[in-house]
Amino acid sequence: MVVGIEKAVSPANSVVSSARKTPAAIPSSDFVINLARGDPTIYQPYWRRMGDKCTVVIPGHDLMSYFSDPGNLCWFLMPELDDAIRRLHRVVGNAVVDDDRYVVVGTGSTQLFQAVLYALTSPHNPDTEPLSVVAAAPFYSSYPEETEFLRSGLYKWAGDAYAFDKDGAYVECVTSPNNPDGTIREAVVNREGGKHIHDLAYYWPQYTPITGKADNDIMLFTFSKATGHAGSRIGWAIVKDKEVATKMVKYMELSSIGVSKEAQLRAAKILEVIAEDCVNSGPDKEDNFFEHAHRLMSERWEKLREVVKRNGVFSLPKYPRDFCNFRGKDTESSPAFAWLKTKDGLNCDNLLREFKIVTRGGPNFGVDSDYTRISMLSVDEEFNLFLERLAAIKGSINGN
Amino acid sequence: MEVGVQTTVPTEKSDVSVATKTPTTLSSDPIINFARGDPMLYEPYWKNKADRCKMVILGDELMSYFSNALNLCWFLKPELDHAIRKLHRVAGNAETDDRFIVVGNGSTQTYHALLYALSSPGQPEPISVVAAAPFYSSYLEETEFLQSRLYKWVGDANCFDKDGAYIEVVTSPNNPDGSIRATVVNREGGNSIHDLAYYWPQYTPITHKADHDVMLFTFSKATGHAGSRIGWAIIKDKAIAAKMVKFVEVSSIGVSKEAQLRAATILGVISEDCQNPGLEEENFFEYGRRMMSDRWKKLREVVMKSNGAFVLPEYPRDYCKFTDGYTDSNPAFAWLRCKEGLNCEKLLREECRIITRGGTSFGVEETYSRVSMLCSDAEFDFMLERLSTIKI
Repeated sequence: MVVGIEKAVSPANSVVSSARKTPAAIPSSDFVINLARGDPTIYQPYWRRMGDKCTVVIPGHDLMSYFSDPGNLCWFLMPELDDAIRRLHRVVGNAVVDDDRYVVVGTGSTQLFQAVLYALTSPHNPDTEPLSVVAAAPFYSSYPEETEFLRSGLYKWAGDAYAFDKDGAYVECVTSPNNPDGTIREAVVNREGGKHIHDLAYYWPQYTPITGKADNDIMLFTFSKATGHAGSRIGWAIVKDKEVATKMVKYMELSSIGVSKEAQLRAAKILEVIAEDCVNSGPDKEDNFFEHAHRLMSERWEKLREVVKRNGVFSLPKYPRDFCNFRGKDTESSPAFAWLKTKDGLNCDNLLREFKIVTRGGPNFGVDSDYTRISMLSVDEEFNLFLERLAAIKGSINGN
Repeated sequence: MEVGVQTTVPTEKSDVSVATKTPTTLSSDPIINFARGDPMLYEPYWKNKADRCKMVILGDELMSYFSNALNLCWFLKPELDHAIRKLHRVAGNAETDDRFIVVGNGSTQTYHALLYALSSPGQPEPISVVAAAPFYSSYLEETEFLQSRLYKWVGDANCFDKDGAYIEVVTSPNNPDGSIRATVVNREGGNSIHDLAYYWPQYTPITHKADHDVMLFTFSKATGHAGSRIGWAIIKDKAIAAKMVKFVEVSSIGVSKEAQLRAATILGVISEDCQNPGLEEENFFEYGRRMMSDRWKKLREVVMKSNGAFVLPEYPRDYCKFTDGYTDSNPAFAWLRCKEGLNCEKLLREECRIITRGGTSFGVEETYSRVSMLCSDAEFDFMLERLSTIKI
């Protein structure tokens, strides 16, 4: 299904207005649970327990300069963060970060996605068509808007990669594990003239088995989904080609003259602590972050599957087990989002809304409305309330 | 002088790669870069307050995307909102009552957000974007680099005669030449963006509370914390503010919370000091004004001794309400002009081994060049030494 620009769930009302109300403060029957955006608050208790280990102290005169490392291609990238990123990928084994790869930091992987589009299309010859940007449905709902909102002459959203048959240059965004449906993906349009962006936001042990070191030309990661620190606005790209990396840096310069140094320092600290814990893990020591997070996600998925099986109204995707190199054992997938489908073709998003559960419906992702995407990353209270409401849906429908 | 789309001085080489002192192949004297306004002159002041302005962040803090769900700008931390409004009240440089504040990753991002907010996808033509020359060298490239069909850089506002909607960017005090500016294109169909990055007591007399529909400020030039990437817009119209928020959401899902908190801390300390009648040391603005004033005095001395090799603009004294007295302007950049027929940027680079940003980047003649006055003390002294060696 070819998709133009779909209107995402209007964030002003549905996402934001109830983002801060806590279940405890409102009678549970009235409380609107918003699971449309993936705010990763699930990890907060873990970081609270870590206490002082991750505390960052910044004196008044630190980090003042625009520049972080003038000798580096990415001159605003703090060396501490560069080191921490490379170390963590080596420890987890989820991406190749040899010295010949460039790390480019961004204000979230959102900014980096747009930096890549710029890098792949400039300098632009005004006589040529804008570069087609495609992704296989169901695709991440923000891609169309991020590509089109400035009506750039450089690139153009061309919809579902499965239906893409235009000639000429294109860039395919491959998200793996996929957002929204958690599947492992590869490029779909495999012909001449194509470039790929591999968005690996969820390629971490808590969501999916780490089966190998990803080794693509352009790989995107985000602090938000790796550790839960979405408010920092840190993402990074691992880029093979120097010219692509240089142009991405240029984009970052023109759009925001770099990336907040406080956020970079914080990300460096937290990633370092995780890497250190992973290396020092042992039977007598506490779980490292990824083991702990994997357990959390795994437990939630077990509970969700049970509820969905019992009420018979919905279905969930099945994921194959695979050997995870990081954990050293066969592992299930526990994606960050549940890709729920109504069995009888009802509009899934609307159905859940009747039960005061806000989600993001299939059309936002380029597919039909019998699907909807539900965040699995909320706080415990909200997740439990969600399961309670979901379980109740069967009774209501049968009652009609 | 009519200006079309000019290419700016390539920043990769001139600004960044020589941001630190590096020896050259031609001589053993290092080349120093004064092309970009890295505001390191304020570092000693903040070092003295290192502990008081210290920020401590625990591992589980600031994790959510959301800062304030009830605010139109949902990613703006309330502490920063409060600190910004307070500082503007204390400095008396901008009206914030009944206004919306939108935070961005630097005023660079808020500028982009405004182009988006003030333009509309349904129009047959992109909206024209103009600024009176000499204009801030980055406006052109920032406006054009994505070749958006929503807006288009048209050039010098002084020569603008196209019909239809337009956006005029007014920087005051101006970058590069420090002059006080007002709109130049005053006709129907126009919106203006007032970039007030330098409208602080250390650079210019605060003559009144700026009260425009759209005002931009940046943490970088207010306090020197350029690495934080924090800027803010003060907006009258709710619809414009809402569209700016949408822009920042789509382009970066908000602004780093650590940076926002840092800005809130630092702005808070400045306000507190300014309101403390018992404060023994200088408040930040007093310190900044003293530093800038000293530097300009020294620079003018050197330029005077250059026997006409260079000239600097003169600025009128005016009554500063913050200082409660008449003060001079001490702009963040020195707008040097050399003799007719000479390329000022080239002269400074070859004769003085100083990198600056030439007039053509700002839409005017190459006889001008912009030199940062915000460098560290050591670099400033170095610059004076080099300038005094020039022989024409």
